[in-house]
Amino acid sequence: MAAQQGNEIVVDKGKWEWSEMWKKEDWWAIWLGALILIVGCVIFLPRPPAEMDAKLAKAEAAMAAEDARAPFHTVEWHKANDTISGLKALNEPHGKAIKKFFATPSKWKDNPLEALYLSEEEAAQRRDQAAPKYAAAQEKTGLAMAQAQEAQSAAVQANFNNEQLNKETTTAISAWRSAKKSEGKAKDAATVKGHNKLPYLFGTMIVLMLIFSIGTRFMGISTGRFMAGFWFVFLLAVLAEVLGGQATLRAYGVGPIIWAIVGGMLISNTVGTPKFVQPALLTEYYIKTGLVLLGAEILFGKLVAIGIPGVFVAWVVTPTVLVLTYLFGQKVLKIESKSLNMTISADMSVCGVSAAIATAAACRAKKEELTIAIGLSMLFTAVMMIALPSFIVAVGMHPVLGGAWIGGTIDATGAVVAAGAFLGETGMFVAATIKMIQNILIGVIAFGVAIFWCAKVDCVAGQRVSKMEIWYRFPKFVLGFMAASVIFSLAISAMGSAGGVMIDQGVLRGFSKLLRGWFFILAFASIGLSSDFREMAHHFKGGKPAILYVCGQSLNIILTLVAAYVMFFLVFPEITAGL
Amino acid sequence: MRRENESRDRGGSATWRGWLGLGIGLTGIWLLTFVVLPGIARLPLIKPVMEIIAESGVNAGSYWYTQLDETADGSMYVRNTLDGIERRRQIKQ
Repeated sequence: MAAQQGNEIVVDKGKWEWSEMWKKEDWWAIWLGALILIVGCVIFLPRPPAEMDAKLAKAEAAMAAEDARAPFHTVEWHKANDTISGLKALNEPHGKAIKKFFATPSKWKDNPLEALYLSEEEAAQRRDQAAPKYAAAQEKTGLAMAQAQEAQSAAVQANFNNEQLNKETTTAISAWRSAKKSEGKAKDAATVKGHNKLPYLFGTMIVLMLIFSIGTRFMGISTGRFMAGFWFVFLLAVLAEVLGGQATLRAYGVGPIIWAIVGGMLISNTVGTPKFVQPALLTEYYIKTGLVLLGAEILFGKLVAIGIPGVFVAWVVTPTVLVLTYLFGQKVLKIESKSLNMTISADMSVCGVSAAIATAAACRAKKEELTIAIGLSMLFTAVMMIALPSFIVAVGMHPVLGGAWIGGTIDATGAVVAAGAFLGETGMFVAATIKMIQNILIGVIAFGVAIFWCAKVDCVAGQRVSKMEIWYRFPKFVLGFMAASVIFSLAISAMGSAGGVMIDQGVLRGFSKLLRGWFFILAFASIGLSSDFREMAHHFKGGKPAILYVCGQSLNIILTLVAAYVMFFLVFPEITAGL
Repeated sequence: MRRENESRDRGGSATWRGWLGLGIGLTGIWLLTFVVLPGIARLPLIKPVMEIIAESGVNAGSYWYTQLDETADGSMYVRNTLDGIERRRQIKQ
């Protein structure tokens, strides 16, 4: 973007050159993202699970029949629902092979080496230890199911007109579902297998290096020097994944991303980042490519997953909190950096790390600003993940209201599900669904922020910005991000129930998600390796970012609770009763 | 993101103070992981929640809905429930 000095003001003047499409990382992010998504479609779409359509049709018909027969979810309804949930293209042999190849290190408790290597003898020992618990869990599930069926038979004999019998049946079915879930966890422990992740990690490194090497030559970066430094960034990313997989840290929600930043900063601010690593610190390239892939996971059909109440809680309260928090930061706290203010406001009000990444890229925030936003989010998420469900249970709040409150306020999706687990299955499902709807919002937020920044923020006061100027300044990767979202939303909608099996549980969760996870962790390792503690301290001056976060989150907590109560109890009580 | 403030490169000529700082940092991470956070998890107020989180096996650090099976299962359950409510409403009419 050229700058021309006028008499008194500086007028930005952008220009468009077609060569940008192969010289700029924004466009390379789009090309690489598109290539990966096309490869994913080619792998998954022609290979559906056996008899997928017939199984889906049968399960859907069974659920419709049970809905017509009983005023609650019967045992048969749950079995049909399990059939649909269990149909996943990623569970086919090709999906399993891809997952094994691109898998991150395993979780561990005391010995970090187990994240990378577990001998078959050790695995066999663990299987033997877990077998009795699994057998007991199986027996418990069988017993709970028999009790549920017995209770249901009594309710059927009363033609589902006896309220007491209906209530006893739903309680028994709920106990069976809970036992089934525990059995699933016990099964995981009883079927653990030995692993050696090192060859696959090496293979993953080569694949990732080749993917990003494609664009380096065109962008004027030495491909050889990029490759020479890439292994170091990847190694830090793997170490962050190992640390983030530690049981205690996982439970607190302190995941690999923060360790990639912390590890990188520790190196860069103590012994220094080696010179040969510098050409591989392509933060923008990694993050934007990851964001294009993330766009494909923004499926607008999921918006209606919990009806109007969910849309209201996630899509009305959230943007309101975002705008008010941003204005509070500008007008009251007078935060110097608008991009820091926006990134914190978005990560606090929308969905934590993912919202911070998308918004920071859209408003061109500094990497230190993104780090501060993510650090604050993780700290307060850990606190809220414990405090909120404890309070909800202590006051005896309805699980649907509690779940909606948790889903609308706690930043990270994982922490939402973990906190929701404290409320039981219904509470957790509501919390997870509300958070998922909120996740979808970041597509619109990123697009809106990018436009707002081009038109209003990145210009001199009083300057009118033309439409073409907005286009020149617009971060082009957002186009790929939005296009991926629209294309995959339309595709999944057109495919009906099969879309969930083949695209959501195939192309996206079985392929692009794995690569996107690696791209982001590489980006954060790069951020850490090129960050300066002093710069971060400058942004944190006066503790304003923390004050902004606390004030914004307080508003979020109040508004979300009020909105969830109004929608789930006053306006749509039948939905709450049905859940 | 802007590319200001590129790293303070020390070109590999790290001083003993640098290595000491790295050692202190790594020790801090070890203390946090194996001493401080497990200690907090044992506090009476926090223990019940942490036990359920640990038992559920949920990765609380996941930052996006596709990283968790629970979001797919949950939304499927909720959507099918809402479909059922609608069907019952139509039958009643």
